[in-house]
Amino acid sequence: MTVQRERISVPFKQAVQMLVPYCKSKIWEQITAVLPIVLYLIFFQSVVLGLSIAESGTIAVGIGLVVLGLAFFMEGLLLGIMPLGEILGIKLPLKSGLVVLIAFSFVLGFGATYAEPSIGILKASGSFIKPWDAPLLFVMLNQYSEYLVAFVGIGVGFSVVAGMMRFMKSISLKPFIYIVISITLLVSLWGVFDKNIFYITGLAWDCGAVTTGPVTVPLVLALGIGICRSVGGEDSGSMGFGVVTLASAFPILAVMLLGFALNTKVPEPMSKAEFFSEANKAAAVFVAGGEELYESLKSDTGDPADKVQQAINLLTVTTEKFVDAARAILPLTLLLLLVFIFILREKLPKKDEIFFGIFISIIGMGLFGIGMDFGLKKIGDQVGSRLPASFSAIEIREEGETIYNFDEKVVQTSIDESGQTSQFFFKNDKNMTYKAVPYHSENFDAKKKTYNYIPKIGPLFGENGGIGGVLVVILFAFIMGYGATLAEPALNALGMKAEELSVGTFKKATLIHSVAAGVGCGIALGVAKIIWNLPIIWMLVPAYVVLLFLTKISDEQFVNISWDSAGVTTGPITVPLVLALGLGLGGQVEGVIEGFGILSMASACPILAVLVSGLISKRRSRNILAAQGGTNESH
Amino acid sequence: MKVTEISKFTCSVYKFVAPLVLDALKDNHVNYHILQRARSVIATNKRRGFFNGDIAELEVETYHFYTDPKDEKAVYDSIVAKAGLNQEGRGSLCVETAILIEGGEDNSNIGSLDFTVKSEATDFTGVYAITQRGRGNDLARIAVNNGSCVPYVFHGKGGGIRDRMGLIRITIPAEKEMLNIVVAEHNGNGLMNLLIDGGQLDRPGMGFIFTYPVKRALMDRKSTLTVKSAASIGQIVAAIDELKNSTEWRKKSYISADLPERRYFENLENIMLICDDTQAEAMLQAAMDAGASGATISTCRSFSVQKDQNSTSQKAVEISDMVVGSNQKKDIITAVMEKGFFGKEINGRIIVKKSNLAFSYVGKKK
Repeated sequence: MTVQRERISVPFKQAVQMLVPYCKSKIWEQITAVLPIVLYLIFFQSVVLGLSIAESGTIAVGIGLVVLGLAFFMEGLLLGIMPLGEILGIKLPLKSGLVVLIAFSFVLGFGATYAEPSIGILKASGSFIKPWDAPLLFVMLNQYSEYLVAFVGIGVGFSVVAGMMRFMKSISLKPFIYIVISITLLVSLWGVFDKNIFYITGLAWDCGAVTTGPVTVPLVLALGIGICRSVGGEDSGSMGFGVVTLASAFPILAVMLLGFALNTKVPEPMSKAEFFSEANKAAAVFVAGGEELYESLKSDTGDPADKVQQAINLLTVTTEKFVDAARAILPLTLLLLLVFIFILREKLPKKDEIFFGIFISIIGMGLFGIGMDFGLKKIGDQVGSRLPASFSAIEIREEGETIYNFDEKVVQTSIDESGQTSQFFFKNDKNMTYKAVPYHSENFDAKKKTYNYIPKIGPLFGENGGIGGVLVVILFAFIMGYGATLAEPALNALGMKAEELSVGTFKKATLIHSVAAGVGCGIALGVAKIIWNLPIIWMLVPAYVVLLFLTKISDEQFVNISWDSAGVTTGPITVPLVLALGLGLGGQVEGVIEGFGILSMASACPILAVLVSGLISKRRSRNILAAQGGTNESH
Repeated sequence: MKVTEISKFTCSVYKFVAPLVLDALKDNHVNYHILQRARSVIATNKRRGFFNGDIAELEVETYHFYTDPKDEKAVYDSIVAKAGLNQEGRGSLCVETAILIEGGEDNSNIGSLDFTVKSEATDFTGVYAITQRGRGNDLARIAVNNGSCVPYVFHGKGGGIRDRMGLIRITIPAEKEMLNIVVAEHNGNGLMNLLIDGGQLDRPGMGFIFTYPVKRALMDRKSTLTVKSAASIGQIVAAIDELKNSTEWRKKSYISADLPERRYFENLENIMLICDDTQAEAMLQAAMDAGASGATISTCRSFSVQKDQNSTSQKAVEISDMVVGSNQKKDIITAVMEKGFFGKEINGRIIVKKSNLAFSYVGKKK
């Protein structure tokens, strides 16, 4: 007596009527998420720095694409990638052995590292590193960068295995945190005794932060939720969170390990002259990665700003964005589908939804990538590169002009109170306003009789290097971090799941805003690190010691969610903006050797923020329950 | 197939009370229970801090279990005593008469499905409303502001017409919130109408609501947060509650028990299909082919004490909750049975309860 299930066919007109409000609400959601950071960047550039926005038309289109891309991508995550992960998590422990689960978890973690390449980001972060300043760091980012990725991959692989085992055996996350973080901190502290290790700590902690991308996080999260649903004890309280935490921590150890292994082969940091001395030649050639590269390093000092520009320009090819998106999503989802078909041998439920979800997530990620390059990243770069103007004088190359028929006779000499002389000339513009401009003889081309004039601005707030201007930059960093975090898709997915699983008692909005505040503080601290050239380890150690203490006194559930939010914060919106900021500052501030560390601070502070907000909300419910009269008898 | 009469308990308590309830279950040899996560909604009546509104939401654990009707009173008393439920601000407990259907060696005795759930006069009525995700608090607020007991909100997914559409179904959100409130019998219909009006449940796609008889109940009456002071209004109110042994005297009168002109469904039964994780959707489709109009599916955990009495095994289960006409019950149960409901893959069990009235938008009469 099987009744054939009748399908309801929706007429086209009605389908459109259903589709329009649905799309509208999804797009509106993303507009409200992206708008704060966009408005803020525009405001800062045009009002605070008082500069016009170059290419504003392209940027507007780009931002539109970002919104559209995020809407597609989020929906794809929720329809396709996350349900696929969850159903696999439910079925796998029931139908296959532990060995299969371990192997699968490792492959997933390792593969995720290659699927979402973060090495490009790290390379860009380190683009202005000079080999003689930090030879080990230079070697790891250039000659041994493939090893670096592989080590990070192994780290992530192990962490997914450890995370899934945790769920299978209902083990608390706390001991993992205590052990892994303590070891990582101790290893990092070793840097005090070894300059080379000292310089890679920033890189190692940043690797931990950037490995977990917008596809990996939701996928691993969903998988964990599925496993918890099918085997996990209710008492463990983790609900499926916590894997991302380990995936941020293990790679730090892996990178430090690689660092120690390579450290024996590279020389100590030294001055440039020493580096290129004959006595050091063998070591220097090794650091440079060959005779040819050694020679080119020796002759070319290179302008870091140009290199970065090139790195970002290369990525602007549209097809490349879609290839990247497909590369990030397809291999991982295919792996899951293959496991489903060949190991579980089951029919995939809601096949149409899942395939459609995967498809639109690729479309979304592609659109998003294009939009980031044309929109958000561009304006981020503009603001980032001009931000130092608030505390020091910087050149605005884009507004430079060539003065023809320049005659050296217009150059005059001025003198200050100590008798120091300097040269300047008067320049007027079309409106016949006259301005004294410093004269730099190197910009004068005597043959062509042209003078290359590059206007300078700044310091806008207070004197050169003054505290006022620095504070403006730090405040900017905070608000930018806050705004960028609100739009992060992985964080949204995490918040949604947390709210869902706690039946609404853990609010997504609370989570997102606590994390955003944390990221803001973290980026502000990271910026302070760069401006004042503080050692990253002296910020990480206290932060993590406080974290370990808060972890001790918090509930398992909050510990899992808090530490996970650290991994999800550093996503595709925050990272490029932070990078632009870090590079802008790193290129302008004297004596900065590497610009790492902002991201690792942006990981540590959100954990703090979420743990604190968890403790506050716990106290609040306890107070309410007490006022209700219920808790006067303790259990 | 085994058809037995049972007393079905629903116990919703705050997390700190949960271990006491579990102890009581152990003491009374209740060997099977289902845990569903929920939240309670209580009014705070004033702004407490920057982020907090007029209501507070607290984590709640809801336990579903059943006993033989003859043990009902003893188990009830034991839980109330052990978990201190006669104190306010701890949780609620209620009992319904129900029929349990389990799989057996021989499942061909379909004739035994011709039962009727005993309907007897009760003191309490439960109101169960299903609405879109995010609107649960709106309904809860209406109940709390009218002086009813603490409402409990659950999360679930709706299944119904949506699953029969093509991909266009993704435009209809499946996530639902379910609200459960138990009130004195004579207030049941009034509260239902308040919720229909206030929650706009008479508009298309807004939700579904039904009432059901509750045999025995001890509800957490403290649905408003009161300030701690020497002798607060709250304490005085509580004292009078205790004297009168009910909260009737302080209720703003509900709209009269006379029902407005609405088309209610009658002669209903509430079927709970309990099955292993991920199986509910297929079962629901079978039930719908046999006449059910739709259901909500919640993911819960079941705990069964093993035969040796020392260890408990737990797994994820899905509960599909549906309200159907009494005459449809047999077809639906037979249909899911044919899909292997009692088999090893699904491990199903069915609880059938009585339902009084139900309401949902059904469109204009042609």
